[in-house]
Amino acid sequence: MSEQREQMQRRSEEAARRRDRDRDAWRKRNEASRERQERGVSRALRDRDVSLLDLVDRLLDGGVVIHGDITLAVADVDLIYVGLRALIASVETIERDVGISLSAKGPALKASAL
Amino acid sequence: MSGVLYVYAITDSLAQPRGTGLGEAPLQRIESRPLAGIASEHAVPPELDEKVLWEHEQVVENLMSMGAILPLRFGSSVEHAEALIAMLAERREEFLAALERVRGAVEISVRAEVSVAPTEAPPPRPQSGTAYLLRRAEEERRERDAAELVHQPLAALARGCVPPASTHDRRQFKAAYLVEESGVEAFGNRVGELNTDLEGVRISSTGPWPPYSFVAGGST
Amino acid sequence: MSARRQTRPARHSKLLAGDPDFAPLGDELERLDGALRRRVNADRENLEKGLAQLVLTLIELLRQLMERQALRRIEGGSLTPDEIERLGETFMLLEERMNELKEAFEIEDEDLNLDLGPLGRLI
Repeated sequence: MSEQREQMQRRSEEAARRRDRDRDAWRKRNEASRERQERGVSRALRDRDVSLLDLVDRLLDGGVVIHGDITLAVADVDLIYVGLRALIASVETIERDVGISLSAKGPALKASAL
Repeated sequence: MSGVLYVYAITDSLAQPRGTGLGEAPLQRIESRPLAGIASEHAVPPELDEKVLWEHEQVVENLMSMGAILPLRFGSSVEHAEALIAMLAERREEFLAALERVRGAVEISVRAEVSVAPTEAPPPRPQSGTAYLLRRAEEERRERDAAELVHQPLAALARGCVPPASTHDRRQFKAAYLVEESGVEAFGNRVGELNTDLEGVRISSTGPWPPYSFVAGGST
Repeated sequence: MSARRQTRPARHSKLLAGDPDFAPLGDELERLDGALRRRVNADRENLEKGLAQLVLTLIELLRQLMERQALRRIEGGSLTPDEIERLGETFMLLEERMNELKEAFEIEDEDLNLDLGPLGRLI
């Protein structure tokens, strides 16, 4: 039994280290953003950044899809990634729309499965 | 005809498209009454880069003046007009419904950074599974509440929306709203207000965009 | 569209309102920049690490989804205390396994979000 306890202890210590790292990363990101502001990164540049991201989101992820896939023009992007992105989007949709009924019944996680 | 027909949008308007397509190629209507596709001919499909994306966007925005349009995903092309006509006929009801949904409205994108600070000191060890999940539940709840403070007031001003998906670590909020053209200014003002009033929340919005996110299904 | 912003100094700005300076946005933008400028990773080493990244990112994604499902069921009150405890332990175990794998492949947390180029991030 004490071996199990040791294991659990190690696990939670690892988890705590992870959380510390997350906290540091969060702090670093906030600092970086503050630094950018202090350096006076031009507002025009920031506008352009978020505009571009939103543009790409729409043009490559939105809009009517014909023939069930992006054809021809997006030759650079591996089609596997295209499929994955669609998969993630549909999972998020399921989560959002059907999440409640999914949680009503379903397989429970078994510790042994891992 | 060699090459491809590069398609920008679907419409039920009878008007002629304004402007030109990529590389100043002339725009043509491909009829499949009551619908039409707006396209231009090209020898090869366009390559993907920032410049062509903005160019494509400009073409689609010019088409908005025709009336209700459904923008197509970038890169959509067909070999022959017949293929497009057949598709328009096959999905006629779907497209007509979508056009009704977006008529007179535009899309506004909203992003927000919700700074819910990481929680306090690490829990006592060994941590039980229950404690772990309860802490996660608490974190999730706080993030969700913060996101709602941004989403609800904006959804109230919109005809429809793609609500923010729940996020895990990133604490990033991203949503799209379908807003009456006449309501865009008020919407922008509200975003500005929320950005100022809400603590620990940074919001930005871009738009108006053609309704890319509202071409399929329904969302409120 | 009536409100065209032609007079703005930036050539391509669609900003409507608010403050566009987000820290997380910086990362997303860097990745997008790379993809659009077609900085292609041709190294074999990067390819292998890329595969590990793909697999781990998928596992991480599933872990997040399952965790959210678990939290939802807890909130819905459909789990017994025993089940909650077992689920929590399982998630912690999974977290530990993930950390071991990350260390083995020398993959940082930031890497564990697959960049799909113009399609954005996976998670």
